[in-house]
Amino acid sequence: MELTDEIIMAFVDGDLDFSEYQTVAKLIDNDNDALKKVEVYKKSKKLLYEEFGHLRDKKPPKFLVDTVQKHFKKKSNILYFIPREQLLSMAATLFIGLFVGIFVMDLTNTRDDNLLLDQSARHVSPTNNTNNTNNTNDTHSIFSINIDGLKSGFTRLSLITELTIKLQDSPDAQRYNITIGEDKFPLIIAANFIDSKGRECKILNSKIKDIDYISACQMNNEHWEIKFIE
Amino acid sequence: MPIIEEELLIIIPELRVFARSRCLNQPDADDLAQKTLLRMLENDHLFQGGKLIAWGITIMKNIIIDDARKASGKTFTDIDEEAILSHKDDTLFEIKDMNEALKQLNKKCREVLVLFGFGHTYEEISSTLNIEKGTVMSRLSRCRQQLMQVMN
Repeated sequence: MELTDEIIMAFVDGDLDFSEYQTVAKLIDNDNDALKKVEVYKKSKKLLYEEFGHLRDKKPPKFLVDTVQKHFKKKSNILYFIPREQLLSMAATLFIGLFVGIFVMDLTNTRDDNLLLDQSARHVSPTNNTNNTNNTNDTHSIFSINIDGLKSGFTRLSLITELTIKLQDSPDAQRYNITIGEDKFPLIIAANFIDSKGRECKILNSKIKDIDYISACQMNNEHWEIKFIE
Repeated sequence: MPIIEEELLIIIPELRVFARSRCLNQPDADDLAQKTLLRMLENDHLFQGGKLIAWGITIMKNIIIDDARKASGKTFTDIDEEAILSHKDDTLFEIKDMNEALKQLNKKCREVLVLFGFGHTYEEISSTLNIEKGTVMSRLSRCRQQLMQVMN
């Protein structure tokens, strides 16, 4: 057996089996260099054990133990069992859902508002409307929009839109104008009829943008129910 | 593979001692051990089984590398070979302090020496550091001789 440094070290550290140990012990006894190395390994072992051996049995610092224990304590929380990626995707989905929901709701409202505003912007000047009835000098101007009716009755442009307006008969029964805001639109009676409620109604040809016909049914002496027929 | 609390508590002493091979003083070594534990816990889903201490040491080495790369802030001391060479001329006097002696050795030496001093067998050092037992023995025998040269 060749007496290498590793074998001498293993001899000192007790890492050889009994037969190897006996063989190496004999070889070392006859080798001064090997004996010196044995001393080196013995001394180094002692020093290293003294320096680091106590760490094995010594209680670790509390902050290190707490680091681990706090983590597992938190982990006992049910949410912690959900993988972090899944938790993040759930939160993201919730957030997006909320955002989309708000957006859609807002869009729905905005759409109505837009239609309303669009309609009113194009045709109606709310502050002026109620005054238009009396202020107009045009004898053929007979309609003015009731803004309350506009706000409450407006649904969708593609449907018949109900508006309550004032209607006055024109001297020329066959020719009417509708004044919406500052715009004036000519109307021509296409038909007269009595509706299911027994009211006197007219179908009027309309030149108002996108609206081909208007039906106007008299509600009382001053108010007429107007339907825009697209 | 999930990490079990008890398993992690058991390896704390070993992490501390391995950290000593890099930090050379116990308070810094404990800070490094804590940082390692935290990163192990954060990344426990990446643990694929095997020896937990070996995985912990890999993480610790990565932390040391990351810290060394940072330009500012506290970094865990990782004495490189150049530093060792620069100290060679100053070692004419006898060094009796183990920390001072370890500073004179390279980090591979320090790793096996602290683990041996901790009480590990060659096989245990081999599996902890993921190196061959023969390599452990040759490194350990050489490093112990160097250590005693430095100390005497």
